Amino acid sequence: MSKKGFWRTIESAASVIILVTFLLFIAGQQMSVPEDTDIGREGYEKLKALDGSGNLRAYAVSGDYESVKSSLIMPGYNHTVEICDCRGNCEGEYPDQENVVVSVYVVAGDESFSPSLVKLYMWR
Amino acid sequence: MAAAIFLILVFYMGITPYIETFYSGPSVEEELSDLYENIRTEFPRAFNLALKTASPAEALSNFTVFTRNITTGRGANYRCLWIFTENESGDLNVTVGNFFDSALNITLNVSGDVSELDVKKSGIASRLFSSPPSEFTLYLSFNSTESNLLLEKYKANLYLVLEMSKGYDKIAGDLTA
Repeated sequence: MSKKGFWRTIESAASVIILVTFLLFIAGQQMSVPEDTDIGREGYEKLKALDGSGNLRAYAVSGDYESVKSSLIMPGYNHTVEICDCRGNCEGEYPDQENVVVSVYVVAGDESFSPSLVKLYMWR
Repeated sequence: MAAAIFLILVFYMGITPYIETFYSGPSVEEELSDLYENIRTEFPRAFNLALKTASPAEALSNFTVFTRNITTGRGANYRCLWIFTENESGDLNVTVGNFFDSALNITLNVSGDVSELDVKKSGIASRLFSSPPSEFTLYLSFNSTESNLLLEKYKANLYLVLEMSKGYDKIAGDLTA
């Protein structure tokens, strides 16, 4: 009888450990999502602000990814920039990293019609 | 004990797909709203720049396909219809680009002059309306969508319907420029 009670105690302890692990896992997931969402939106807002300052379009249509990169400051994150035209030709740096967040910004052109996609890659 | 472990394993295996579904990333609203706003805002610019090209309809079509590819590349659906008008020696040229999922039959009414236009999927079609007034109404109807616009003949006008969706979430709207 005492052996049966021992196993029930072990079962209870295992259940508690598994339940706590599970809850911590869920909490971790919930906490990490807004962070990625925030940096994704922040990246977009920075690109939008650069467009608002009148610089992004000229850089984008000329494929000047270095100027876009140096114009952006992403505190706490590393970043690179890639610029792609409407034929899918891209210039810039694609990061060889894990957990990279990407923000994109479309421009139709500058003085003339020249659709481009600016990709801002960010990672810690 | 073995039964308890078995039940725990079954519980984990059963719950894991739902955890990934619910918590693997931001919602479609968060993920697509910036892209939607960006493309919607950029369309009038694309239109103005397209007017400087030899074929505005082709340029706007290229921009539409470009933005559609960007959107579908992010796992979302993209549907778009645009209509633009241009003055042609006092007449009005109305061009429709259909980037919905199927061919559309569109009813156009320019200040009482009614015309039906069949536009195939990812296709463009135009119709010339003779001498409308300098300020005219453009009524258009397709599927369950109806719009009534008051426009100027001597100005190039753009009307855009844009939808993006992913799963059960959808962002949709229109604009006139």
